[in-house]
Amino acid sequence: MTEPGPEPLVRVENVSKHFPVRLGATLKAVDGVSFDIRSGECLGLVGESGCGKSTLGRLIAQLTPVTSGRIVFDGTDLTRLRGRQLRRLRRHFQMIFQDPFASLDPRMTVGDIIAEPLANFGLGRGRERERRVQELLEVVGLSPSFVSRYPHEFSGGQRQRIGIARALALHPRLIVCDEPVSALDVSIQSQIINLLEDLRHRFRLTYLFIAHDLALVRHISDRVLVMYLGKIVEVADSRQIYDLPRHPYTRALLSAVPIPDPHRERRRSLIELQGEVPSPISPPPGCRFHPRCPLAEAPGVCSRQEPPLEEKEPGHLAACHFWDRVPAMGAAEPMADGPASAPPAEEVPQNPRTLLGDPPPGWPMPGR
Amino acid sequence: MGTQPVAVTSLLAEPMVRRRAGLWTDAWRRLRRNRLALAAAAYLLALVGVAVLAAFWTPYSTTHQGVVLPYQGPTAAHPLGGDALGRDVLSRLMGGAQISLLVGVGTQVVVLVLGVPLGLLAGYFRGWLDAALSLVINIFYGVPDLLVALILIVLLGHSGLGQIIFAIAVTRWMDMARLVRGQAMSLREREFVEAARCCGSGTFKILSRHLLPNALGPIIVQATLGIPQAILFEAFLSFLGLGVQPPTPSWGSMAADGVQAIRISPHIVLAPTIALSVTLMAFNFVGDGLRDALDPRQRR
Amino acid sequence: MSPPLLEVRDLQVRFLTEEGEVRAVEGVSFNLQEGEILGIVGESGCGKSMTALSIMGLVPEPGRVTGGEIRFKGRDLLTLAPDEVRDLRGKDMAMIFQDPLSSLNPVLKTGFQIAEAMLAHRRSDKPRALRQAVDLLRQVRVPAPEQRARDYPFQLSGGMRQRAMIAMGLANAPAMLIADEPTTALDVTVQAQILGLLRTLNRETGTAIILITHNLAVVAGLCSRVIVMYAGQVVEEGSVFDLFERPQHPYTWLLLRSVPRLDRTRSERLRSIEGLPPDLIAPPSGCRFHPRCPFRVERCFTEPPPLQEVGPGQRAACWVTMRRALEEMDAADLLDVRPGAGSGVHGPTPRSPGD
Repeated sequence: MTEPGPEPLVRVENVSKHFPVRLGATLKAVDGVSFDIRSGECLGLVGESGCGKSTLGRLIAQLTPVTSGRIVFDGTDLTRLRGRQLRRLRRHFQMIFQDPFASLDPRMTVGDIIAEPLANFGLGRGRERERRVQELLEVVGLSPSFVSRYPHEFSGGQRQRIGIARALALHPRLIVCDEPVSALDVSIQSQIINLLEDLRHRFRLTYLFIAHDLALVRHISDRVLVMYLGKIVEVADSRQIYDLPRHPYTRALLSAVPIPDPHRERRRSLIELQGEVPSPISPPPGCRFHPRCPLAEAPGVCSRQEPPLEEKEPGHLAACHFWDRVPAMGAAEPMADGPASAPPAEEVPQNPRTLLGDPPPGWPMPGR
Repeated sequence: MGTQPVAVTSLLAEPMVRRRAGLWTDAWRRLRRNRLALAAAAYLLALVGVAVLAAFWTPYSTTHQGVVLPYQGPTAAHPLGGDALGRDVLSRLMGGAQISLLVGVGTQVVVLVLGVPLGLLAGYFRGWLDAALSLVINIFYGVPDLLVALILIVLLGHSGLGQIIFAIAVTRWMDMARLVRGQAMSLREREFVEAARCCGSGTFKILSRHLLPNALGPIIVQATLGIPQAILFEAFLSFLGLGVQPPTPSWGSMAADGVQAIRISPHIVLAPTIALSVTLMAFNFVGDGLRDALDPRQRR
Repeated sequence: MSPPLLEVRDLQVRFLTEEGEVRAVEGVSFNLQEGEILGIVGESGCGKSMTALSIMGLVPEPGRVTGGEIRFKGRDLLTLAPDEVRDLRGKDMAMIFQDPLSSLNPVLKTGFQIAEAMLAHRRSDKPRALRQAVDLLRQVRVPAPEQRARDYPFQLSGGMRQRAMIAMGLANAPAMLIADEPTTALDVTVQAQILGLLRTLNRETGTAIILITHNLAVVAGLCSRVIVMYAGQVVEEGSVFDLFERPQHPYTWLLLRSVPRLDRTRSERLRSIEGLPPDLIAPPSGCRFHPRCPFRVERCFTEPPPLQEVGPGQRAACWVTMRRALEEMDAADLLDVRPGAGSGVHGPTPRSPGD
């Protein structure tokens, strides 16, 4: 992958994580994934259940070893490191966990929880360390007086802030955010999202933001990776990927996300993907998405040959043989209530290769 | 992106911290409602008091013979009468309490020292360490307790309390190790352990600061319930003449001595037997009470 | 207009816990028309699930319905004997839950469980009920229904299980189906399928649906009327169009602006709702939302606002309402959402107990 600009902070090269499940069968949670994380960006990682995004997050945070491949962090291959060597580098990449109730040790005070990373690296001593902990609490919007309290005394949102404070303690360069708000109430989610954004700009952090909520990922990320069944199917700028997806799965995902606008919801067609995600133990041959894909030619190239993840347009990668047939998003959702009553397109996609108006043959129509 | 810099510090005013009881407070509250456990605990406290007292003073000597008429029944001066050799039963009972408690608690201390670290290591690391430990545990389970204890006592020379404690502990450590192993295995999967690894904590820190404190509840319950088992075992050994040697009083040996005279002077065998039974029951009630109080399912 | 299928009046549900009495539902009233799809939106702890369970007569211990009326087809369910309610439950009114895996019996075949739902309420023989179960699975668009009926729940995918639950719910052609967070645990593509299914079934069978969710976007597509609940009370109700285009209660207004949306520009910063959900044992005085409301005025601290008309067919429980906030407090441009920021009434933020 050629790339202009500075060296990426993290380079993931052909990483796989396989779990042996029974004799002869392996669960390929992550299968041959390659991408870069650029310094200072927020890279969103999105996908549905079983796609491997959480596993990928844990691989990058080195919480579980890779089965094959390399993860190069700031020039150092993490997969080669063991024990103390690896631990020494951990200060540069941290993680925020999904479950605010399980990610804090119930037996430790808030102060101890946040101080643990500092203690591990011998940062600060006595009073100085206390001060740092209090500072961190303030930074995440909590009162410094909370140091002597226990996690069970706090709400979900507050606990998540504690987890964020812990992740910030070592001044890491990269933070892997694994579904940081999905376990929180809706009204609290935006507090935490705004906090994460503010912190990123304030401390010049890099985020790998993992979530299943596409609207959220679009809001917070600069670039987005879409995963399906252990593989990356599309990589693009946030804006690009939502206006002009180049993979049918991405297109279907976008179409399925409900929007809080009753007029729009009634007008748009839900592209109903048939069936559900197959088991990652025996993925379909060729392109993994082909059995559910409205554009697939099967039997044909789609069932025989796995499409490689390649740059189709500048900065936009997709793994699809028919990437140029994917209809655009925007107001020109061409299937609103069937072709006859399609509302006029308000935004015209720039790319001349886009189909306007008629959906491609075989694209699922609403109603049945 | 970003228009208004909505001050992050505006959130500093988070005033609301829900005050909910933690594990211990919650448990204590539940325990307080358990009348039986409380009564049993009171009894045990009194027993400890008696045992401590016996170290300094008993109504009569625990070993001198002839302080009372042999086989004499309970009287005002000797509330529990005299045994076959004319020793005051009450005084010997008090002395026996010392032995029972020392053995009971002492064995559990050894069990904890042996079982907890092994269990933690096996449960956290799995792999060959776990396989090896499981093998050893199963071997120990395979050999009958009495045999092991006998062999050890003979080998070590059965004179001291220490030897007895060790011998009993050797037959009982496996339960604790298995319990701790199970706890470690489930705790290592928890997110806060992952978080600890993520922020650079080493194995020792994880085991001591994260796993052990979170496994403390079941460990305490197990240790508490192990005490009566040990006491009973000691009594049994003493009954067979293999425990503490005469003239040191042990409830077991007292019972053994009294069995022959059960028709003429039942008090000789009844006193230590009842004391033993009540003590065992008390420990079991307290242990059960602790287990119920600490049950995570009951916690919100 | 024909009488409503369901009328809930001043429903009150309380829980007696170690820490005090939790007022889970406090005076909730609403109607459901025949064939209508009603949405109940709110966050965890707002009382929406408890309201649904009260209707079904399934309030768990230590909760109790302590007041109000629930009139279903004219009869007050709260005055019926337990076996009369049981008779209705599963026949005229049905409920499906969030996690189908725990609602389905893992050791019984799926088809059998659906058949059971039918046999519990009407005379039939088992083979006929099983055949009807297969038909129901077909109606909920399960592919290869005969095979799926013979499968155990764990053999089905999440979406299939939820469809099976819906089939069970519809087994006796109920007049009303309550769906409590039916798609929360599902992937977004499967969610789209299930929501589409519910819409289709409503059209085909005329079953009224109460859809309970915390996801505003989900109600936008499916429901014709929506109720917003907060802290055990209804704070706003209206048609789905009114609610989304002209929300009058600050909570609704803020909620709509605090969720990321695919149809808005990325760079808009999300407005958040400050503070924490209220303690239901000792809820705030006056309006329960006032500790978090940017538009509160003095009256909000002391007097709880009743649910009143703010437009044709739209009601909100607010002294200020967004109309006034938009005119007088520049609410549209407001980005500082701290309590009282808009109206300048910062005042002492009542602290929750134990602070």
